[in-house]
Amino acid sequence: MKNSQYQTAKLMIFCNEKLAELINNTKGIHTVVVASIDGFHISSVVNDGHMKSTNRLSAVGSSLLALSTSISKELGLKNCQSIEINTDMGRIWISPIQHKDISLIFLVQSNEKLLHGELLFNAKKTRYQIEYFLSH
Amino acid sequence: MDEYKIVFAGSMGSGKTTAISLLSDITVASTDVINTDITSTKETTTVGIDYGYIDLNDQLRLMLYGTPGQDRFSFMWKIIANNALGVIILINSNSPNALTDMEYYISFFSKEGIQNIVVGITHLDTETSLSLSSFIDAHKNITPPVPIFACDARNKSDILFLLEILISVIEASFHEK
Repeated sequence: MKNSQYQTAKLMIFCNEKLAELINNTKGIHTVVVASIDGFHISSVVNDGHMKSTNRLSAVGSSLLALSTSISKELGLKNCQSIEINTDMGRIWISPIQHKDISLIFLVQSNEKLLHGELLFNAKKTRYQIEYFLSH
Repeated sequence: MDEYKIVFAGSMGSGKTTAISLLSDITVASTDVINTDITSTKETTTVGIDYGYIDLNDQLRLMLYGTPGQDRFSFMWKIIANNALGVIILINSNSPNALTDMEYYISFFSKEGIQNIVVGITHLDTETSLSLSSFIDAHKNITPPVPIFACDARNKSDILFLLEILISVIEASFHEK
């Protein structure tokens, strides 16, 4: 069901393409999700064969980013640029994608074998591609 | 100082953030973001928590927690409801599903083990809104019975009234035990 004003065909097609590229070109990334800042799913790719609720991930990611922004501001650190969650089995990296009045969130999940730098480099590259798309 | 947790829950756009902001002794820590939902005209919406508190006296502080209204954030409702003493449920009477929303939120928080519940019906001043009696009638014969009142979330005295009713409900429940 499309409820968000950001769920446009153009954006969803572009994100699907770029998320698939990210997941295919980076061994160890299992899940990538783009959602609106208020938790509506826009695009996702999951490749580890496990069913995941990407709608639920969109909502949880949105809450986490908002909570992180809130604590950043409480501490006088302004906006949150990213969140990283390190677990026994891998990492979760969440970052806002912002262009003018469009606000999205970007969530990437990797396994524990993927190098930290490779995760950040490739995830940020995809984030910039989406930001660039939004600016044109 | 004794601290107790009170939760403001209820439907999107019912006035939870506004109510907490009016009551709180501190600037509310909020998690509002741009609202992109095309079914709502709200500019921003809460996606995490709202937090503030009100000191009733030197010995008693009520911590006020607000939830996001949308069902997709129900995982936050469970987190926020943990160890809460009571819930004020605000329902936007202008919402197309206002009656079922009310029963849904009452049922959800009852199942979370919170028996002290008060409902405030907001936005009763618009042409398309349901009347207060519709909500009272809809809740007849449904358990748990909860007090239902009209409320303007922008009016501090209305919100304080709901809070006083909730405190009475809590006191009554202590006496029953």
